[in-house]
Amino acid sequence: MSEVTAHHDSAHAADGHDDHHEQSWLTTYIFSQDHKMIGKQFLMTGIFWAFVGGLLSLFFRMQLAWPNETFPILETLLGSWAEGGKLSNDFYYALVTMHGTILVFFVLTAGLSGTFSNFLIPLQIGARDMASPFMNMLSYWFFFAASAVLFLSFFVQTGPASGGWTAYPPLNGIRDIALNKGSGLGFDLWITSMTLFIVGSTLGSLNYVSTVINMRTKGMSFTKMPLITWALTFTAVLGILAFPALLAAAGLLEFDRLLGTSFFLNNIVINGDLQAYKGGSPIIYQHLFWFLGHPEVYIIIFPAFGIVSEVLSVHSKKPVFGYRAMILSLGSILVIGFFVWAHHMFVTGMSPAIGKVFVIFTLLIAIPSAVKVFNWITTLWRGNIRFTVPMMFAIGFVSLFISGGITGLHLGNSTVDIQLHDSYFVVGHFHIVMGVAAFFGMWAGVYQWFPKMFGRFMNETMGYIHFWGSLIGGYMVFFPMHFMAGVPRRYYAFDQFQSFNNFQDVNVFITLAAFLVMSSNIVFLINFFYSIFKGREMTEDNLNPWGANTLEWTTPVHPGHGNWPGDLPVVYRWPYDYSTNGNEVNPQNKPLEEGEHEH
Amino acid sequence: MNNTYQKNGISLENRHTAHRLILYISMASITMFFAVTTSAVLVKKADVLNWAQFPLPDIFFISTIIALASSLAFYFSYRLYQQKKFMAFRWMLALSGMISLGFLISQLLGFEALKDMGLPLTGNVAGSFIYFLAIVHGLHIIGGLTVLLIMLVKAILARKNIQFEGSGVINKKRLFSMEILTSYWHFVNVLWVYLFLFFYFNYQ
Repeated sequence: MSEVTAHHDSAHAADGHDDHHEQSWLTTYIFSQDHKMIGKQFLMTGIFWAFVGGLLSLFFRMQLAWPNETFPILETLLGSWAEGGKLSNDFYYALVTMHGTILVFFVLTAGLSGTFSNFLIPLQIGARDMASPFMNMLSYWFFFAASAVLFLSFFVQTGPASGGWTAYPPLNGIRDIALNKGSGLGFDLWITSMTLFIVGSTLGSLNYVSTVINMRTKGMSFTKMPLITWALTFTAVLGILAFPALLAAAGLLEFDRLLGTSFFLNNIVINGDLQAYKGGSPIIYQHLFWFLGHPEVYIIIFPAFGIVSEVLSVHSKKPVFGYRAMILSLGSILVIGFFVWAHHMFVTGMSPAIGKVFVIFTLLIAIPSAVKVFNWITTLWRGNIRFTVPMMFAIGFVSLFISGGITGLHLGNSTVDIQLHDSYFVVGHFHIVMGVAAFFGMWAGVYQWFPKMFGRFMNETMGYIHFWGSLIGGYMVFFPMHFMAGVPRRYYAFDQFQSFNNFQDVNVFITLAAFLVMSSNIVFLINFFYSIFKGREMTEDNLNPWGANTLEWTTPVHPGHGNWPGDLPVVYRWPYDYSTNGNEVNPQNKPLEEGEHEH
Repeated sequence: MNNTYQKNGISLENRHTAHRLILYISMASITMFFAVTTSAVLVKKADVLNWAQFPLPDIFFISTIIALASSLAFYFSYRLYQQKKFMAFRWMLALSGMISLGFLISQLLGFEALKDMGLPLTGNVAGSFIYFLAIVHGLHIIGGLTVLLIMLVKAILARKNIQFEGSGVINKKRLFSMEILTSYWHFVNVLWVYLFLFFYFNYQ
């Protein structure tokens, strides 16, 4: 741990740590405006939702594996949704819908970028807090309200939304529970929840970008920012520009449902009766949805990119290979990511010429993605690698990103995608590349910054069990799905279809593997909560346990609101000065030695 | 730097720069909302069989004039505060709010006019888009009016504050709030002008 160099340019900077008023329990833990506490609130809520979302997937996996069996425990847990111990088909669709919504938005968006943007951005750029701590607090509470509304929807009589996480009309555009139980109040609550979520996410993102641009400490130029801060900033930009499209889609859809407009509906016939809806187009909904939906993939994966870049470098004690290329590739993905949305819509009957444009842009994204993979591997090459738990998860991420990314090339090509659309091949692809991989990024981050968050360490053995269970289990769940390329997704049961039923043993295998993944994550949950209270304590003489260069490790074990006692640190070097000048670690606030040049 | 303005060791100027940027970025986000929705209108318009062409009701012209007037009123409120004419500032701020309220009323009249033309909310999709976009835009005005009301009440309560207005001294926080509110108002008014021109050129 090097000496902390102070930033003296503000006469009042020291006030930052000391001038805060006495905080009550309520303002410390609940309505906190401290970015670190807000980050932890996002993490706790994200973990809660990850558990719920994972549990839902186990329920529907049981149905897929043993469609003719009954499980009394299901009736105990789910009541009338699983009468006689068998999931009803209505509730099966609700489970699939809610699993997707929860995992995509509440866990891998809020739980991932919400946690690490809040916790790390001010610490890594040397700021006392976010540009607007109040707005930051609001962003969490909007997310909490969104969570509460969605959770409540499980308890309405007609059940939660069940028309798919993409909420396509016309199925979701008509508020008629005779057609689909989940299209009643459950879906209204889904839309309300999404609206609250988008407001909260936007408030947070505005804050992150403004903080990074305006609140950097002396010496922290953009090219001295850690890659995770870059990644989190780009994530925020994506959210700011893409979420409005989902808001527009949700608004128009709710107008159709509640006020009787026809934005997405046309010539609907129900039980032989022509409905009044006329002139709308459900395809427009798909355009609006995927204009968010595809950038959302990058909103999920960018924070994991950043975390992995950081962890690989720290634990191999080597500078990140191609720092500027990493930033440029993130920027390229951000820009190109806005021109690929219709590759989710190749089967809508779009003109092949337009399809080609989207194919080209989609395949272009492979270039910056490959640059990143190459740079991660070359960062590891000949590094002094420590196979710590966060490092294992980071390496696992690279493996998963390659495995899941390669099948993206198949699906990005319209001629292939048209054959594979809505099949288990797609499910396998996106779950590996943006599901399991993003989770691995998140876990790498949790294990890496847990000591900074709670002043204690997590148990390593349990961490390794968690890693191997998740890696092996994750592959066992999603790899076989690639062989089910002709099997349609979202089916309640396959036993009526001979060709699909041939995969029944595979379905049993996948479900058993899903239980393995859940078990290893229960190990994680026990480790996480036990370690918060009983983990090995971090001490003031070992503030930088991983030997990292970034500024967050220069704060005390329990930094107050304001982060640094006294003055802010001054930055002299880039964050990846590892193994130079005879030192493995050269913190960013360590002045350059005589004759030493900046990177 | 006056200590009154320090918070968490961050100077007032720094905070204001950061907050100003937050406003500008949020404008980008709001712009995206209207950009994607008006793009959807254009896509839908290509489906000529289901698209109604009709002249825009005159009341929307009047809405546009009212919007521009409210921008002017906000500009004068800001200037009056800068010039330490605090009483006139409060009146002008109230007037700005009234004009904006007038804008909302003119929008409701516009909806009535559309209905009279045989284009209720649930009618042809072309008309429905006008309702939707105008309602969402109106919600932004209502949000702004809520902030305006809070600011007006605060300004009235602070009229005898001896630290600032009561002694003829500008409260930098209030000046900044006025700057933000005025910028926001110019933005939502420009947004309406865009929507008006968009409707005007695409609907007749």
